[in-house]
Amino acid sequence: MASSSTSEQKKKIRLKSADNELFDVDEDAALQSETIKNLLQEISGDQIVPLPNVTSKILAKVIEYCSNMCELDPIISVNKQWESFFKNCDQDTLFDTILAANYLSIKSLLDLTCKCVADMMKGKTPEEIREKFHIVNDLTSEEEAKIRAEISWAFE
Amino acid sequence: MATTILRDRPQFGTLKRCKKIRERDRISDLPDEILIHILTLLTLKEATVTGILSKRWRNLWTSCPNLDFECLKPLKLGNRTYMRCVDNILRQYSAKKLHRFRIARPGEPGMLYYFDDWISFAIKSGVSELELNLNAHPGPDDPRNYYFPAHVFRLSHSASPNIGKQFESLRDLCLRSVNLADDVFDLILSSCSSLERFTLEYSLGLVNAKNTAPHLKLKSLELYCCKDLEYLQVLAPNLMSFKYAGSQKTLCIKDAKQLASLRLTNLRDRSTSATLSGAKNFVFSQFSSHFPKLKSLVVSAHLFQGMTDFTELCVFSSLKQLAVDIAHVWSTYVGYKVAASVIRGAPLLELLEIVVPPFIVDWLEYPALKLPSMSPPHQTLKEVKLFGFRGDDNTMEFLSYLSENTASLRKIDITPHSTNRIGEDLEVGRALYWKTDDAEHAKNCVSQLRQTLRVDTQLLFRNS
Repeated sequence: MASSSTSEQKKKIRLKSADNELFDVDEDAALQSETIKNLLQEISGDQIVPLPNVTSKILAKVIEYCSNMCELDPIISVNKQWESFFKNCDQDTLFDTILAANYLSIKSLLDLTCKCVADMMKGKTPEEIREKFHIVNDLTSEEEAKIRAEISWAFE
Repeated sequence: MATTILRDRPQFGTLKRCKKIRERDRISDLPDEILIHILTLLTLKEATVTGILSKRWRNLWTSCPNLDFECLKPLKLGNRTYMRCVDNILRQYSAKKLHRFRIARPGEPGMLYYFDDWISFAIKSGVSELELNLNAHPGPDDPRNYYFPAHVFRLSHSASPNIGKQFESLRDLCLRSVNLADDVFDLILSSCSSLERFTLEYSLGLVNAKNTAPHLKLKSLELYCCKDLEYLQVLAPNLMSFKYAGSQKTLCIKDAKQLASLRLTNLRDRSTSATLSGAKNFVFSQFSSHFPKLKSLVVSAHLFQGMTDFTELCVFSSLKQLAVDIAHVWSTYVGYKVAASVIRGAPLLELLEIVVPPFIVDWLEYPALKLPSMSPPHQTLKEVKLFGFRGDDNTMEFLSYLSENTASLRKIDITPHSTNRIGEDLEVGRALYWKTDDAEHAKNCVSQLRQTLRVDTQLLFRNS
């Protein structure tokens, strides 16, 4: 999945992560983010684009994804690779990427990561979903029984 | 009872909570909009179940913009349970904007009153895509006949002008086995000014379908098996796609200058050679002005039965996709003649799809097609898909003709299974109904074909 070598002539955008790491990114990759596109219009010239909501670890992944989407063809097989990456990575990476994709407004990445979460929920009982995502059930047994009765059809 | 089972759970839950304390619950920290986005990727049933996960999740599913009740189907609920279930969901539903609403359920007596309510609910919630499929093919005297309720439109019209705005969000309306009166057809088109796609299947009661004022947004109109229809006149200057399956009636879409996709197919059961005398007129007099601009065409072969001068079909100069349905064995010859003539006059054609009946009959002769060779050969046709292959003489002659007269053919995809065009879809049957010697014959034909093809043309034979 490593991004292939890029030509020197391409315009670079410099991004700064929450932990102050700098990334030089091809413009067409960076512009997949609507947020970066808007920020670039606000700041002048060759200034650094600050991204205080994204850590360097996640930003590196997001950049790799965006570069892949720009360079590689056909996109479908690349998407499959990324899908399998997100399905197998730890949950912190997955959810941090979702938050980053949301903040950076990269629709294809948000759709892909959300689909991975949905696929992890599919076909599971509520108990299995809680276990998978470490969700603590804070409903009282009365509340739970009430909800269960309301949606009893969904448990058939 | 459920409550007695639950009574044991808190203790067990607490134990589990202690053990898992180190693992953080990341998913519940996501903002609502993302969780709702995730829930829309689940079925309504799966999304509803998440209401029981925790307090955080309790009401999230009620904000999903899609209500697709298709997921209730496998539960095989009785009518009363089904109605209670839908009503229950609608009562809890709280999304600001309903995007998609879809019900698929046989319209049995006693249910119909509820359908009215559900449609009203969807319209009031500003639905964009509404699909109602009553899953039946009701005859004229069938008590299940359900007419699309006109009052949902009329009431709002008479009330404050704001309420009429609800219809502005409706973009896609699909009614299957839902009947429609002539005036309601017009009412729908005049009320729903944003409607882009309108599909009717097995809608009885529609005889003279007309709209009075031009509809500017409508891009796609599909009418399948609306058996009462006699006359259709739609004023929609921006219509891009018109699909019609039914008998030969007056269909008038003359002002659709941008029409790029056309489908004209006859019903398989009704039409015989004798009833098709005016078929050529049905196609040519009503649609020939669109031919040069079409990008996609689907036609039944037998509509051209009796045609002698096939060069009239060499006019599809923009066509990229062609599908010819040969629904009757007696139209095999004419089907290939039609396909070859269209190809000859379609320099941009890329994909050809042929559906043939999956049997060879001994009472029918397959006179040689004698297709005139093309020089230079066709330059863009890349792929041919053939369904229902048995290796009859016409099919074999046509395929070798294509191989000799095309420069760009890369793939011939052959399926021997019986195939039907139902609604928008091509349904490929699962089973193969052939005798041992038929199977042997088909296999021999395929290997014979393989020898005549150029090396760069891939031949796929899906005989499993």
